[in-house]
Amino acid sequence: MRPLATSSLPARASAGIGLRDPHRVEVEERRPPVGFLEVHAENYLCGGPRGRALERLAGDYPLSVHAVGLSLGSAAGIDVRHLERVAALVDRLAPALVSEHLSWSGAANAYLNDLLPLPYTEEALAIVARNIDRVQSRLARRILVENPSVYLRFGHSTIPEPEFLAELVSRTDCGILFDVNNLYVNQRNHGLDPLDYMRGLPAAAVGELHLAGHHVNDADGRAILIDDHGAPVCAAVWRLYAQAVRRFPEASTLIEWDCRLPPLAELLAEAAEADFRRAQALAAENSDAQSA
Amino acid sequence: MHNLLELQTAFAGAVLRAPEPALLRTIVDDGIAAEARLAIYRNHYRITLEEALAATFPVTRQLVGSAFFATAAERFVSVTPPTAPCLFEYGAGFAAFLASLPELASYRFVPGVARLEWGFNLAYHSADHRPLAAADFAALAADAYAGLRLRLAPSAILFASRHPALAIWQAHSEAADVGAMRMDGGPCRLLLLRQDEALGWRELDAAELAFLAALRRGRTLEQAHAAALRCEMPFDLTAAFGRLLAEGSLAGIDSPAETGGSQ
Repeated sequence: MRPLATSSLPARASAGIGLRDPHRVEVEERRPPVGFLEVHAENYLCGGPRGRALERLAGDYPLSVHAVGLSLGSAAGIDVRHLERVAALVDRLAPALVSEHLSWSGAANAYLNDLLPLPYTEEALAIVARNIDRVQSRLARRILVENPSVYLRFGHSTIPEPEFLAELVSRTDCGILFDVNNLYVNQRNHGLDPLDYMRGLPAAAVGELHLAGHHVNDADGRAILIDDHGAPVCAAVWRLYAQAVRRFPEASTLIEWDCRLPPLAELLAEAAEADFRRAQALAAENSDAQSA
Repeated sequence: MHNLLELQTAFAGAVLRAPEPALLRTIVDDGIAAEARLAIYRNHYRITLEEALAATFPVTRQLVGSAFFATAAERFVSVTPPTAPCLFEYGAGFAAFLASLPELASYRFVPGVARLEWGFNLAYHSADHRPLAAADFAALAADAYAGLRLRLAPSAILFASRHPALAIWQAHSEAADVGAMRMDGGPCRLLLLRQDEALGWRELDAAELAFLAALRRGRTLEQAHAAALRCEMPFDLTAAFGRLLAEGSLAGIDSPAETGGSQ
């Protein structure tokens, strides 16, 4: 295996924000002091004002290209046409980070516009590893793979999710994007132990942390958390974030909103809060280490 | 069903239609039934794609009302899943689908407005191009023009409707000045174009539409000129060519001659 180009931001970079179209003009005018900007690849596979704005912003900010449609978990393999379009965008923007999800999005020529759950089996592991290899060799760089929020689990899964991700790292040399809110959503919906989960991830591979809000819904008469990125980061997720920062100190943090988008100022305030809490958690880590 | 390809095919069926019992048996039922868990994914699929259609067809939605639009969109997304992950590319068949609905039989202008909104969407998102300028033609010999194949800009979209789709769209669009609406107006022929950061349009007569449609199909300038003249109305080739250059709707010259090559 040849070494892949790294996919990382400078350590200790300030938190970044997800750039969404309604904030684009304001970000261009104000140039807020955030560590980086993350965009969904699939919103920029086009010409026109959006793409040109991003090229201008690329001069002032490190970028992260977060793909949602490569469908790394598809048994039918990677859609080459889509991979080529993402590759062209990555070539054009030269982003600091490129990421995708541990999920699948389509079958039989239907794209289902969602991050769908996988059974964690040896078969799925081999398929996802092959698909990641395909993407990384086309992009000639390492990608980060994100732990998903899932609303169902398959009875024939045999591998715990952190072990599945760790095995992908060792087979493909990919990195991990650890979404703290997704872990919290899965903890609440499926009763995972979050600290156990974090200990299961290979710390050196985690290059980015995601923070977002969720929505509480009803399913079959019971509360279920839906990861809709449409609310502020909740207190429990901030507490998990402090643990995550200590476990993955080199990872950069992103504030992610996708629906019920608040004013840009609210995203910037959350990014500043992430920086503050990160510094606090790392200081606590240092003082623990000194008193030990 | 434990084979991943089979599982994903069955899961897609459950999102688009209804789950098979074999799929339900693979899902852990811990307090929330498998059907209810799958319904979360089915709802997400339906809601996000209906929102995507509402974003692409806002004036169509105003014309038919949000309740009817939601019903129509729900039927469309269940039979026409996206084939690619870019949502701004979703909805190519929506206008034709609306045209097939008996409920809209007395509102024939609605699919026309939907097609116009789709045209604007295409023009807005299409690939960037470098507009040709007069200087690009400076080296051409006078006798080379007839054989030229002029390539229209990717964002140059030709639109024609038997209904006054633009006037209706303008009357309902926040993006345009509300003028006098002529629902009974005549047919509408347009060139839609993205110029720099903004969308624009201009009206065409039948001859210029035929001329541009021929260019779009890759015909030579001579053949496109002939297509315009078949409309049996005055057509000034030099003036039409000048308008294309001035507005920046030409992206390249494809010619079999030595002046050719592509831009």
